Amino acid sequence: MTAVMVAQSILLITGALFFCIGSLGLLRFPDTYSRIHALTKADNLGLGLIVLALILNVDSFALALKLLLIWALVMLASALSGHLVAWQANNLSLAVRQPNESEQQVSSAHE
Amino acid sequence: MNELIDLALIAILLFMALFSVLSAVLFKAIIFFILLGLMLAIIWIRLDAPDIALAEAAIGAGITGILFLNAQAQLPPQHTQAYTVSMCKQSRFWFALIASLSTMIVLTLAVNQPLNPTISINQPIIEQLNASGVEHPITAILLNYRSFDTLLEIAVLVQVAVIALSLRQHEHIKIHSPTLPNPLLHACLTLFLPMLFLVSMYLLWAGASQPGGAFQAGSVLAAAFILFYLAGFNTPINNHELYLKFGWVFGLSVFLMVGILTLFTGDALLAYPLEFAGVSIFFIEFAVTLSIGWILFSLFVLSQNISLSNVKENNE
Amino acid sequence: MNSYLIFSYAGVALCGIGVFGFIFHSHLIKRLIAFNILSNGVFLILVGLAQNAQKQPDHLPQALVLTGIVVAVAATALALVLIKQWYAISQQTTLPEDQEHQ
Repeated sequence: MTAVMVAQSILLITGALFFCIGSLGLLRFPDTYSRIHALTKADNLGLGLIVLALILNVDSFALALKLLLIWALVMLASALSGHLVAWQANNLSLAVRQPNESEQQVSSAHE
Repeated sequence: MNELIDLALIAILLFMALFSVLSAVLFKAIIFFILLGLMLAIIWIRLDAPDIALAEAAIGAGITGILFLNAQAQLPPQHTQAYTVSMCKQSRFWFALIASLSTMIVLTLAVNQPLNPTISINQPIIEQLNASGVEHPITAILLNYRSFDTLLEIAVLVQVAVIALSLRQHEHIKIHSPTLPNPLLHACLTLFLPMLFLVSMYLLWAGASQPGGAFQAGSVLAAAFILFYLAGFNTPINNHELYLKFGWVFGLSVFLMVGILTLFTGDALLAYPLEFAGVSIFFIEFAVTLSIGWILFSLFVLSQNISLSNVKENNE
Repeated sequence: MNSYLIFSYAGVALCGIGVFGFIFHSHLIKRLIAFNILSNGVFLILVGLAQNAQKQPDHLPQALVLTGIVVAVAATALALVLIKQWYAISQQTTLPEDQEHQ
């Protein structure tokens, strides 16, 4: 186990952990707007860590740049789609819920 | 260790399929189907098939998912929500279960038959690769050894587009056009569209020596066109029938022209002369890429219940 | 069991799930999803069997599956256009012989 392999393993496991945390946020957050936060921020950071782990193993500089380009494009795309989901949710007047409110309380408060 | 990874991937794949088939809400079924497509793309990598992985991720999960979501968005909620009859009481459930189990038993028996291939078709494919004009075996198969199949496949795509055009709705149907007039989308498009075109042409060019090729490049191009359309840029090209039809037949006609030219210069249809094999393959691939992108995009547009402008009934 | 035959069995299971969904559902779009799952299962069986028989990647079935994926998406698009036509004509998303079951 060389130092590079140890670094790669740490980066990969941390990246996967960030993905798990992002999915946990998707399941546990109460409304659409906060779920978008969890998905875009945590998942992109996890992807960045995984890309860094892959770059450590690559021979050519061009391939490393391509991997970084994948990360940059995914960040752009998720920022754009996160904004679009939030914009559409705002258009549909989806409620902003607190963690302990249920559906009935919110809909009655917004009547 | 590899077996465990394969088993885990297959278990996730089968769970996605089960959730997709057994879920009552249509939107959930479609989302699980898209996830199934993505898991399948990873499984194709495990099967040493990177071209199929690219095509499955782009076409199977991407374009098919877009078409399904588009169809689902146009149905009113009573057709997409859960139905209340419990599943196990219906006789149809048991009939479907028996049919699926018998299919699986028959297929398992068929898969268990030992394959004894007397010839190895991989040998001549690799040996003739230098004469085929490209370095990637799958591109060589698709556009040189079995180019007639690819020609017919493009013809099938054109045929589907023509049928979709002839079945379009007319004015008495409510017009539904999924545009998102969002300024951030317009601004990001100035960044995304050139990059998508560049990626598409790169996939096309790299298909000669690495996994890539016309179909993957065509689907990335279709994604670029669909994004352009979703942002609300309704150019006359989308709506005018003549432009639509020209885009569809462009790839097929270039393919046919090269084939007919080889009838005169070569010895058979689509038998490229040896020194022009690479050039003619790239020529055909370029036209086919543009056409596939345009056909997939117009299949998305034509399912919108929009009546096309400048339709002259006496000209058809 | 060889390493690649397991993917053929996964394809068999996908075919079974697809057949079940196709017969059980009466909603036309769900039937179309099940049909797509069935065709993906067939592709898995094909490439899994071919990969099992040879030690190096077998390119001919991969090209066949590539063609198959594109034709499947074309058929799906056509089926969706037809389903929308049917919905526009009859305001139903099931065929007439299935409507009394709902």
